[in-house]
Amino acid sequence: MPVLSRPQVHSLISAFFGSRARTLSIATLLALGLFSTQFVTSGTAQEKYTIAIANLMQVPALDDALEGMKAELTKEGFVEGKNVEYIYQNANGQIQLTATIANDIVARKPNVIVSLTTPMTQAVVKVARPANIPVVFASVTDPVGAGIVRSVDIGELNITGTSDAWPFEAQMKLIREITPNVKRLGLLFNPGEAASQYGLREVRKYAPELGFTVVEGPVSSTNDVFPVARGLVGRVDALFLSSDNTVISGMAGALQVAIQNKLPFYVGDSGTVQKGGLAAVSVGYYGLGQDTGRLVARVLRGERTIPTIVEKGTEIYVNARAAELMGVRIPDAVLKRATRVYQTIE
Amino acid sequence: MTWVLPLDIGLVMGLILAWPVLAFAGSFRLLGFPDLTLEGSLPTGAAVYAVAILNNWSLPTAIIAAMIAGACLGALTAIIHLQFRVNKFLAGIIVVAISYTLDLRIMEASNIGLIQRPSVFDYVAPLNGLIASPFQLGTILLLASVLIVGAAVLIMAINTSWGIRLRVAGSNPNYARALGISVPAYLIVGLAITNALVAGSAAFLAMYQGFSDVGMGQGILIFALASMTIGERLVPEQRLPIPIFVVVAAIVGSLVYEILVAYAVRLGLAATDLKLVTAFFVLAVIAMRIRKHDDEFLEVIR
Amino acid sequence: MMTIAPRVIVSVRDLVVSFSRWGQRVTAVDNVSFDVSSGEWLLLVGHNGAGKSTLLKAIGGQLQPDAGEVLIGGRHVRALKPRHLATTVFTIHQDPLLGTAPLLTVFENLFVADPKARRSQNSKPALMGRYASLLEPIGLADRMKQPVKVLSGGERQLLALVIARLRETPVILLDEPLAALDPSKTEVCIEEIAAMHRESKTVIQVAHDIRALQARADRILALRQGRILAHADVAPKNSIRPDS
Repeated sequence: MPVLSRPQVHSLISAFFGSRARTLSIATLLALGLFSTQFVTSGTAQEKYTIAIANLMQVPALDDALEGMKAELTKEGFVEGKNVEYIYQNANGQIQLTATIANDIVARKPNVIVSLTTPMTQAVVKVARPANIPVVFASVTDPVGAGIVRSVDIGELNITGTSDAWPFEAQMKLIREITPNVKRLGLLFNPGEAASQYGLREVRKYAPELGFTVVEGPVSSTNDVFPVARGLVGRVDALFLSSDNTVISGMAGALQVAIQNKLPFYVGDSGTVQKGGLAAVSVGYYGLGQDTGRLVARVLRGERTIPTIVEKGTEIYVNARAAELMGVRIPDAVLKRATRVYQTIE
Repeated sequence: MTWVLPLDIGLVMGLILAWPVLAFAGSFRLLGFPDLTLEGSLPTGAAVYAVAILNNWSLPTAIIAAMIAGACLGALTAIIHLQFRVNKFLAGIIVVAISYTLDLRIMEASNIGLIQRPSVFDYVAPLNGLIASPFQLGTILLLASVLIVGAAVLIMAINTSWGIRLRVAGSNPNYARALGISVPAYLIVGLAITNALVAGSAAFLAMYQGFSDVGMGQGILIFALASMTIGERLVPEQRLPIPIFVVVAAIVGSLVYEILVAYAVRLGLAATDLKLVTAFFVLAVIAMRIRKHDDEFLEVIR
Repeated sequence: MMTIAPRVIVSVRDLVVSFSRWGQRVTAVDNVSFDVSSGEWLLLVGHNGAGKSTLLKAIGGQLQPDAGEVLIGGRHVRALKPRHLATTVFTIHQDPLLGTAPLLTVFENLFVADPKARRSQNSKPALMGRYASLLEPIGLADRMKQPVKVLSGGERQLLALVIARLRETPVILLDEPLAALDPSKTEVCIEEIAAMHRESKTVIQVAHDIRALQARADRILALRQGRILAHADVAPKNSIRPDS
């Protein structure tokens, strides 16, 4: 039952908006107002660099990377506000917007574009390449598979970046070291994420060599994490997830299952260990960001053909509190090697 | 100069995405079927196209393959609704869910890159940047001609005796049955056609943006709804027969919406603000009272 | 003078139709049998709930009876294929909104119903001319290009009648066609039905108020609680009936 009748709503709105002309002018004023908040004064005569950052969605790991990148660039003499202007665009998960954002960014003719995530990088490269604007991607897991570069070893004109390919072998070796009795790994992942697809293939490749069997727990949304994890109880000896954004968002559910059933819960990056993951061999995203920053600096200085940097992922993160709750004793050798031992669950 | 550029990308996206809006508006307004399938037929069209291209199929064959996939999904929605007596919305949602898994299987990945692959836009690329203009003239002209020709064909088809029977089946199934028109047959064919169009445009979208991703369909429904609403308010409907009005409104709506989005992106609005601003613009358009008579007429097709 | 026995075109035999209403089993049509002759105008009367509409629906093949059968032209109505049924029987509903497609124009509604429309010798102007003369009596001749939705309920009902005439089905069923009409249109409506009757169509009409129809119809069948209460000839039968 509507509160107001239709004619009443109409007269309200027309009282507010009046004629069509008034509506349009209000709309224009609002638009201009919003624009003015984005206005950045430049106007000095010194050499100014524009670095455009294009992201598909905001995730803690990528935030870390950007922080690392900016820190590194500052160190190399490219300082925000002094000789560098950053432009941000974020599609907030809407793949629909990638082409529009890519076109917008290229039209602004930045000196370099930093792109994050696979689809955004693809869209950006498609437009930037004919426009001859260099692109540096950050943490695209499989740039070759995504058609962005032909190979990670040979540099390509105007396109380079850092890849955060999961260090699976190292990760699974760590699992073997901490909990030698684990045979069946329950992998939680979202098949809809490019990184996870790649990861699944790698896991399937390395697992048998190291004596694991993998039980797949596909998840299509954050809400699925808890029920799928629950469904794996009894069929697996440990839960495992990597840098899958969907599962990370829902990891509290998986953590609950792990603690309740005394299952070790291995994860893929430091941020997730902080949240309660037992252990991870991680690509340090801050470090990845720094490597990205170095690439950007080289590009800004004129280099155009640089091979991709594939992060090695040699940092070990453990969470002692989580180990306690899961009934796992972390060997001293691991604790000594760890980059960081978290004592609490956030 | 840079302030004209959003018009460029807005036009391109608006022309490509006019097809999903057309399909949605057509099935909703003319067939009486609010078809949510497009959220699935879009990514599936792109997926099939991408895989075909990866296997070195020719461009036309790849596009046709995509359209056939879309047609199958549309037919499936109709069948689920008719055979299992599932509510129209739900039938579409079910097929969207199916298509997600289907896309992952078809692509064997969640994403396929198409950056270096042959594209229909390569042929018109020389026209881009013509006359020192910043506009992707070639691309725009190509898309516009495809749209105009396609829309003309659609309108002609809609006015044939077959097209009229299709519309009767959608407008009043009881009446259609009384005339011996098989409502199931027409519904299945109708949805197959609309979703084939969506899938075909998805191929163009994948070509243009350089990839096919399983998440491409997200948000397309809201986009179609908003565009359709904007278009129906902006297009003067009194002189136009209903089918032509629906087609023109869909095209206009898509163009206006995408141009608005392009300008919002230019204004540097973060994506969250972007949703607010586009919602605001849609509301502003809806609130515009043009002439009183229009409300009555729009009631006609509601 | 020869008395030619009228041909039976609709035959209802031992018809029983029941359905559940709010958990209770209601027998709407209870063992009804009667014949309708070709070219006859039959009125079905009775109180609300007497089963008239249900009986009409059963005759039109719209529902499956529990027992008994309906034959039209000697064929079981439920066994007829939809296309064939559509050329045999046409129903005018009580609710005027059911009878026409709202999003299509008046012309298009007629066009799609017109069995002769698709013949190649019929150009659009010719068809428009023909429809205009059909629409003349009901006053819609100048509104052919308008979508049906803008028509009033009464106008849509009259349009449905014109459509029925256009279809030329041998049997026409009307479920209280006058119910939704305002008094100014009643006469026109009856005229249309009479015209169909003159064209030797069989008309079975559910009616509430028979005063206006008494003079025109041939026979009245009264129903009460699903059973035939009585039936009577209205006008004296002509001894000689022309062959249809």
